[in-house]
Amino acid sequence: MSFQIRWRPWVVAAGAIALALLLLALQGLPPLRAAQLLIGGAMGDRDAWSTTARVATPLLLCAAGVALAFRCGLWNIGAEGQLLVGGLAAAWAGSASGHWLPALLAGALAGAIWAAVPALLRVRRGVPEVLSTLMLNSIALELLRWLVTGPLQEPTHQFPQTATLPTTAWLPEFTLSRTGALHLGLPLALLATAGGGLFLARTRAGLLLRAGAEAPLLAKACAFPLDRARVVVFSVAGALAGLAGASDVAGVARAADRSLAQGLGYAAVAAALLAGLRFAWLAPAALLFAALQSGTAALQWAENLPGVDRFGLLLQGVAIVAVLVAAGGTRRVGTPP
Amino acid sequence: MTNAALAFVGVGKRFGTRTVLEQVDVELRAGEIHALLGENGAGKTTLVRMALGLVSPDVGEVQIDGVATPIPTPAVARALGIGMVHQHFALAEGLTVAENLRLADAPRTWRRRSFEATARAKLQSAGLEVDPAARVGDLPVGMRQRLEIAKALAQARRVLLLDEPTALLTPGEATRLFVELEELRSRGLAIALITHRLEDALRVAQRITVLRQGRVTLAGARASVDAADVTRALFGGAAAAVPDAVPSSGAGPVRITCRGLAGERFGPIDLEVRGGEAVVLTGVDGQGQAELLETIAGVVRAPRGRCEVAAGPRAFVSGDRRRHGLALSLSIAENVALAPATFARQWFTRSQLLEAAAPRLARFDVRAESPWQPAAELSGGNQQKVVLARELAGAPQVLLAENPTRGLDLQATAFVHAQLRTAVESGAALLLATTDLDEALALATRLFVLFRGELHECAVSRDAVAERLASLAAAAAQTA
Repeated sequence: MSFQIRWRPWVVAAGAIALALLLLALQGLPPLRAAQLLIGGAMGDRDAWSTTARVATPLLLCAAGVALAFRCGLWNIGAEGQLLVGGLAAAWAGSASGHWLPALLAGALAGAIWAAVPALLRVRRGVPEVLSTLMLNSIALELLRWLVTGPLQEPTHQFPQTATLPTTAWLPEFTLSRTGALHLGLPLALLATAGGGLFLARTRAGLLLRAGAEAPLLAKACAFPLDRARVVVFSVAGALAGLAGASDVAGVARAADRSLAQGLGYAAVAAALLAGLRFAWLAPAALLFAALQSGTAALQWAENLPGVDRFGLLLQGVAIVAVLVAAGGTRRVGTPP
Repeated sequence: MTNAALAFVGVGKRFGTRTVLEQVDVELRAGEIHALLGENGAGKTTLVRMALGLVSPDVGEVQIDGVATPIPTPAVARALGIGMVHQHFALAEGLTVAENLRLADAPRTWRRRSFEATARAKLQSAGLEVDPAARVGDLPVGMRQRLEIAKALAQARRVLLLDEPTALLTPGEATRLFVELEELRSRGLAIALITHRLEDALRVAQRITVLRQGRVTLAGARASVDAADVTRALFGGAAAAVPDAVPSSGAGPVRITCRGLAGERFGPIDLEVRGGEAVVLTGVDGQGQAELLETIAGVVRAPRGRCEVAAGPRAFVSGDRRRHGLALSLSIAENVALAPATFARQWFTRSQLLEAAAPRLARFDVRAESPWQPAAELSGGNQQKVVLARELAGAPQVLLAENPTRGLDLQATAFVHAQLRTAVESGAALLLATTDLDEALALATRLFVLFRGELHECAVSRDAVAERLASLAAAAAQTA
C-alpha cells in the first residue's frame, strides 16, 4: 500500500457535506444560509475557533494513535475504547491526587493497557486486532456505564458521572477570547502528531515497523524484534487515545460521564484515512471533522429547526462513510514488478 | 499425421522488452499426456494462458484440430472444451462438494435436490467417491484436487491442462492422481501436465516438451528421451561457457552448522559451511530450498534438529522477493537502509539515510527516477538489485542466497557473481541455493543436489549434476 495523500477523499467529503446541506433545504433552510452558519459557527470568530479546537484536540490525539498503528500494519479500531478508559482513569487520578499531571499520566497508561491487550493477542495468538479492539470498545463503554453509577459515582450519588475534578486538577488554559480558551491538550496533540511522524520517518524502529507491516519476515531477518516493537507501538497508540480522553476530562468536561467519546474514536479513524495516514495532514483532517461538529452545534442553536440536533450526527456519519469509501477505493495495492 | 487436439504453432510473446516465448511449437494430441517442463519464468504459464484465452500470441497461432483458431476470451476456451486445473484450488471451502460443482457451470436452478443429483452423476462419471453433501473444507488435499478435476472435466471435453498438480499432494495421492489421468487419457482426452518435477513427467507422459527461457529446448516422445536429456534441456546446453575459476576451498572457521535440521519440506540435514567456501545447493524449484534457507537465516524456527550460525554481519537474499526481500511501499533508499549492517543509526535525517543508501544504489546500478521512489515502482530486475545492494554491501561473514540473479540481465548477473566471489575470497561463508546450473558451477566450492528436501553431494561438473539429478528422478519415478 502506498500512503500518499489523495484528493478524492477530500472532494468526496466536501460533496457529502454539500448533499447534507441540500437535505436541510428540505426543512426550509436555504443552503447558503446553512453553509454560512456552519462555517461561521466553526471558525467565524475566536469563540468559534476555540470550540472547534477543543473538539479537534482529542480527535487529533486519537487520529495520531490510529495513523501510527495503521502505518505499522496494526488495524487499531479501538481508539474509542482507549479514549473511554483514559478518561475514566484521569477522572479518578485527578480527584485522588488533586493535580492534572497524574490525571494525564493515568489516562495515557490506561489507554496503553487497553491497547496492549489486543496487541498481545495479535502477536502471541494471532487474534485479528480489528475484532479485538472493536469488542474492547463495547467493553470500555459498559465499564464506564457501570463505574459512573457504581464505584466511581460522584459523592451525592445523584448523577451518573464521576466526581467533578478539583480546580487544581484542571488542565492549564490559554485564554483566546472572553469565553473561549484552549487547554494544554492542543499543544500535546500537535506534539504527538509531530513525534509520531518523526518516529516513523526518522528512526530505525519506525522504519522497520513500516517494513514489517508488509514483509514481517524481512524485518525479522534484519535482526529486529518485530513482535515486541508491535506491542510497544500499539500501546503508544492506545496511550495517545487515552491521553485524548484524559485531556477532555481534565480540560473540558471536568468529570467523566456517558457523554465521553460518543463516536469520536471512530471519527478519528476516518480523519486518519482522510489524511492518507500522513502525519502532516492529520491536523487539517481532524480540524475538518471538528469544524463539522462545532458548526452544526452553532447551526442548531441559531435556527432551532426540529431535528437539527440529529443533523449534526447525520452529517458526521455521512462524511465518515464517504471518506471510508473514497479512501478504500483509492488505496493502492503494490503494483506487480 | 493426425491433427493435434490443440497445437501452438510458432507462437511468440513479449511483455514490454522481455521476450517470454519465442517460436514455440507444442502439440497436445488426443489420448496423450504431454508433460510441459520448465523452471519458473520459462514461459509455461504464458503458454497455458494462451490456451485459456487470457493472453493472445504476438506471432504464431493456436490450432484446434489443425485449424487456426484464435482464442480471444476465456468463454471461447470454454466453448472449445479446454479446461484447467489450477495449482491453487479454486474451490469454496465453506460450500459443499455439490455446490462447488454447481458453481462451475452456469446454474439454471438452485434447487438443492436437483443439483445434488447432477453432482452425484458427475462424480460417478469422474470415478470419484465422495459425498456430494460433504463440506469441501473437510476433505483431504488429494480429494480436493480430484474434485477440481471433476469440475474441470465439465468443461474439458477436448483438452485438460493441469498446473503443478502434484505440488501439494502426498506420494500416495499423486499415484492416485496419475491413475486417474491415465484413465482420462485412454478415453481420448488430450492432457497437458505442466510441472517442474522431472520424475512426474518421466512417469506418466507419452510426450515431453522442455521450455527454457521461452524457447523449446527439447521435444519428443517419452520413449525417445531419457532423464539425462531432459535434465540437460532444463538446465541449459552442455556447450555453455566454462565457468570461471572456482573459489579456493575454505580453511576458515565453521560459520554455519546444521545437525539433523528438519522442517516440513526438508531434512534431516547435516551440513557445515566454513568461512572462505561456497556451498551450493542445486536442483529444480520446490525441493525445500526456500524453507531450508529461511530456517538457517533464523526467520522461521526449525521444528527439529539444530542450526548454529556464527555471530556477526549476515546477508539473506531470499528467493521470494515480495515476501521478505522488499517492503514495496517503502522508498528505495529506505529499503536499502533496513539492514543493520548497512545503516546502524537509531535515528537519522533524510540526508543521512540518503548518504548511506546512495553509494550502494550506485554500486549496484539500481536505475530509478529517485531514491525516494517506492520500491513497488521498480522493475523486477531493479528490485532484485535493491535487495542485493542492502544485503551484500555490509561485508557479511555469512551469506545465504536463493536464486540471487533471477530476473537480472547478463551484466548484472556477472556483477553479482563477482560480489559473491569477492565475499567468499575474503573469508565469508556462502550458502547458495540456485536452480541455475551455470550459476551453481560458476560459484561452488562444494556442490549438493537438493532433491525432495534431501542433500546429495556431487562433484562440481555439469555431467555429474545432470547424472545425479536424472538418477534421482528416475528412482523416484519408479518407487512412487
